[in-house]
Amino acid sequence: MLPIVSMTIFLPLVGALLVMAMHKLPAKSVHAIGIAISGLTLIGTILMWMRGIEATGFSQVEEIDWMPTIGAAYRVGVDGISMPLVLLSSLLFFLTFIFSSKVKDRPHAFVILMLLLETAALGTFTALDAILFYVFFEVSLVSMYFMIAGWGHEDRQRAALMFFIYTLLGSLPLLLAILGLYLGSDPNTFDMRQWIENPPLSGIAAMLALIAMLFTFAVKTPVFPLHTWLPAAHVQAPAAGSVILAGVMLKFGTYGLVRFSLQMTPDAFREAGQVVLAFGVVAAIYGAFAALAQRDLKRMIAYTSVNHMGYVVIGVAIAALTLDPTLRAIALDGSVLQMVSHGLVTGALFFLVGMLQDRTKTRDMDQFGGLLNVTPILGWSFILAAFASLGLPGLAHFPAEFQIFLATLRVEPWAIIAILGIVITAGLYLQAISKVFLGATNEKWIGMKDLNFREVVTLAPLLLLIIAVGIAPFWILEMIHNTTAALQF
Amino acid sequence: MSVLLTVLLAPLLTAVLILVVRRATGWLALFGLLISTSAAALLLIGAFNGQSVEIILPGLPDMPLRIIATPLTSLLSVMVAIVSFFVVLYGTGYMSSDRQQPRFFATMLLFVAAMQTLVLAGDWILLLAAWEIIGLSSYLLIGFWYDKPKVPAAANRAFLVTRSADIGLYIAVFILIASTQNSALAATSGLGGPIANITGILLLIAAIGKSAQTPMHDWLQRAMAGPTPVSALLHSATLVAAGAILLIRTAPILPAETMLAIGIVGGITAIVTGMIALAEKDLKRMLAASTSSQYGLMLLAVGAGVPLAALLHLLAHAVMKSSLFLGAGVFQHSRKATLFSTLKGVGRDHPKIFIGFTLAAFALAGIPPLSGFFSKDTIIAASLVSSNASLLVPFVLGGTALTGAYMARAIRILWSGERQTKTLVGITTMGLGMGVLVVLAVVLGFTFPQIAELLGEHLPENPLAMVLGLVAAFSGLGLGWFIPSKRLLGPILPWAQNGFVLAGGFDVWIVRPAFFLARQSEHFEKILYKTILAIGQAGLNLGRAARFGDERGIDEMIAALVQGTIRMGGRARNLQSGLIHKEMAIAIVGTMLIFVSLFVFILTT
Amino acid sequence: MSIELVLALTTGAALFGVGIYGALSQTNLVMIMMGVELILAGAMVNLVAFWRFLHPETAAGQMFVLIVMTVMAIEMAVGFGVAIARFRSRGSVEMEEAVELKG
Repeated sequence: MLPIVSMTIFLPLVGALLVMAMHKLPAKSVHAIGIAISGLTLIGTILMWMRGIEATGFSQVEEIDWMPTIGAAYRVGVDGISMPLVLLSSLLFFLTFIFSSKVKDRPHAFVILMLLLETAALGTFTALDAILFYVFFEVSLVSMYFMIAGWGHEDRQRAALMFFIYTLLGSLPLLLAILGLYLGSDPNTFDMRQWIENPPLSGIAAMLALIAMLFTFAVKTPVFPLHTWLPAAHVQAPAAGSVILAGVMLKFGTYGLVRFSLQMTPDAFREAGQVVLAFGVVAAIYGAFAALAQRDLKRMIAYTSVNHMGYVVIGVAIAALTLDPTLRAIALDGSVLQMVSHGLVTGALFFLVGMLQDRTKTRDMDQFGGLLNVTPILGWSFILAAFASLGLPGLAHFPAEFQIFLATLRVEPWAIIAILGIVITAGLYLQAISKVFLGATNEKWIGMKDLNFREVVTLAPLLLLIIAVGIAPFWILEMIHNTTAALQF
Repeated sequence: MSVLLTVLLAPLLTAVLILVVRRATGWLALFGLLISTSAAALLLIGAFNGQSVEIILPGLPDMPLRIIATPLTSLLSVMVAIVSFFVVLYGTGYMSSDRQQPRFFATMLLFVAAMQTLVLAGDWILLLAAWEIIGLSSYLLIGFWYDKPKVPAAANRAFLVTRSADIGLYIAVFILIASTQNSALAATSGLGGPIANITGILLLIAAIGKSAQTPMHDWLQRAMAGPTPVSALLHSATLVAAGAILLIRTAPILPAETMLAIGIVGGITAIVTGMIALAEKDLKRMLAASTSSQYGLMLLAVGAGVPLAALLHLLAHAVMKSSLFLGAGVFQHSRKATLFSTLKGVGRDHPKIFIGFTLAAFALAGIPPLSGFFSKDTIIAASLVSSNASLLVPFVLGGTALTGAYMARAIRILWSGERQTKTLVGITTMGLGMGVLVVLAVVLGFTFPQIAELLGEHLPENPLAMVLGLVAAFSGLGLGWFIPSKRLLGPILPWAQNGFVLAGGFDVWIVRPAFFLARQSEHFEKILYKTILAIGQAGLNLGRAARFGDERGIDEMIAALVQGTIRMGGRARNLQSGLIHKEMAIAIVGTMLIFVSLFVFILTT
Repeated sequence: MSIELVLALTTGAALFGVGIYGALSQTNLVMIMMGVELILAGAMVNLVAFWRFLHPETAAGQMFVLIVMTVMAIEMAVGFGVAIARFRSRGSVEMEEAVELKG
């Protein structure tokens, strides 16, 4: 059996080493290598998908002993929760490489960093060993720091530094929790599968471990009030960086929430569920209101990320609070699907704003006007993505949010007030659309070019997937539901 | 099965085709709609024969999507199909000089597909999805001429108001699915107790939004910024009908208290928006207010316990109101405006259109033997026999009278003025589309008994209702024709012209607080950000303090140690005077000390 | 202890004392050397006295005195050699001025 999982994870790293070795290549070839490698990685993840995933436990597990005395091994595998995220990551990276093929400033370094980041992302989602998970989790920070600091916009140094230190500090409690779980497990091991099957801690220890993990994942997701690094980082990051940050790296937090907090300390999570739920509700509503107040397009979309991730947190909290396996499955289905949808939709939105900023050098909504006449393809793509983001049925977010809210009403009815978020999001997106694309055309932008081939190729798969997931979510939900329905705690 | 799917897929696929091909888009649209209409008709015929078709599609886990063709749904489907066909026919003439025809017809077809899905939906999720997509189409169509000044705002308003009201539908759907463990519409019967009341109120809220009832009626008037075919199709016959359709379909499960609430909302709307219509200075806005008013009457009928009456009025209103709008569209093209002051006498320019307009107006007012008479009659009869008759009957009669009044006023203004000779491009197709609908408006009433039979119910009949109805209708017409609205409404005229906005309306109660909260959040964000930066500064200061401690504290200590040692050495150096006799003195003193101590040592041991 | 011995030792001590006083208090190298002579002389007197009055039969005392006298002579020769060298380089033999080895 070919170790396809490991090959797929490390293929980008190999590509990075290749580019590092051939540092005299011209920019075009470097980008071509990047696109080719990420394309092969995408094919690899599709192969992983087609090989199939069993309902219980993890599939396609590949294991090599690493530090046997402490029970740490190189262990990777997938299940219905991580597979969609793996697919999402490889797709987004592939499209980002295509989009970034115009980067002329130090292309080698850029491509190397992105490939490294891709390995880190795929590794995080497939790691089945806690130390391995932590390694991949932290490596991603390095890449993203350099991308923001090296290729970002006006205030990039400060934003990059704040992002790096904030999330690094935020990750330290996770390390403590991992050690706690290690010490609590009966033959001391770092094997995540063991921790899931037999949660090692109980009582106060479990609660402390949970709080530590929640802190880390709250910084990463991000959840109010630990979210302030996100708008700063997004605004200053280059478009490619924003897409990966929002589309992939935020999912580390929510994935960890499900994999670690929910599956490894379920009883403690049930006790703390109301608090987490409250944070999720506040994040959802606060994020929407904060987005409404923004004039900078990227900041606005960054805050809608806070809002959408708030829904995910609500879903996970509901899954923790309920004892009914059907409701738990519904809530988790919704949360995981929301992660995927958010990646697709917000990825598309950041690409679009990036394309707009490339042409106009500004992100301020008030500077635009009537762009639908000037750049119709960009305009209509934005309108489609915006309506997807506000949860219109037939587009990606609706099935996910529907399931989350359905479960919420059954389990903790008070939290349904988070549904106000969909109206506020509608308001803010319509405001943005009418300021930027509708109305009289601003003379400054009359000769602006519409999307070129590269940009259309970047956007088209995302938009098609947004519609596909919205109309027929079952092709993703099937794999998610098989796993969530079989969860036992 | 495939017939059912054709009804939905024909418009959708034609829309895609139009966007790809971009030529002869109007004819393509008509072709698609023709197929859809034929399929719908086949379904209706099947329903007459007692057949019921259902399709199940995969949806969410354990919640599949269902499409069903029952007598009720097939009837509504045919109504949607026919009105859409003729309005789009009209549209080929109306939009003939517009350059954005592909987008127009494609969006119209998207709307039709979504509306058909709504009326044929067999489960809540599909209904909810279709409900939202018609909202999307409405946004796209109202905002069709997006570079005109007030248009985006009108589209936003419409979408946001209906989306807010849709939360009611969302929560109602969740409650229904949760309590019945099933998402099918048919499974929701048998709900009881306070849950049913809450659900009912939530559904009512959704209907208030979508059907532009008071207090959410002003989005419809603003929506008139869109092209007239849009107003004719969406905002008279179909989209706004969705609210009423929802209540008609769920009427069996609603308890009495909710019914009363529905009736009261409908009644109040009928009166309030009727008065707005009477005071309106713009023809299309008047028709919009009138639409709200008529739907108020339909809600009242549901509240009275006879959803059949509401359904009949819905069908009649669809053809009547769309004809009125189509006529208004011709007038708009002719004089390039919709204000009454500009349209004085336009009836004389296009007499045939004007005759059609008047027929539809009389039908709406309830003059026999036009269809509106029959449907209004049914509603009045229903309200008379309902348990809350004392409350509902005055509303109905008031609404009927107001209908007559504002329609007569409109006819009067449109007729009384100077004739201006105008030729219009596309008048033939426009006239054709409108004409068929007018004919339907005239004759539809005669099919009502068969419709009632199809649905397994009978029409409530009451001679008192007929008398009251005729009195109200004719008095209304008379008042409207002879007395100008200023005199009729008197002191409330300015308030009516303003749309009966209460204390600033939505802008003060909802929009401003929302933006206030948004600004507060942004403010809080800045505070949070500063806090984080302050924590960072604190960290830096800690580092500086550590460096300070190192430099001043530890380094200084070591330096002091060094200095001390050097000083001590300096003092010790003083002994090294280099003078020989001093050295000798030291030697001798030292030797003495050694000897003395030796002697002492020897002597003591 | 016979009275003659005490007398001789006292003489020796007196010479020793004067010699120390002279070596320490004088600043001129020649005077310091004179003091050193006296110290050695005092030591020799003590030596002879102990030999004559306690062990007259051994020859060790006499030999010791001869050796000391030789050492005195050599020491005087070296010392005055240093004094002359100093006088030739500095022009004086005042010890107060010889501070080149100050630490």
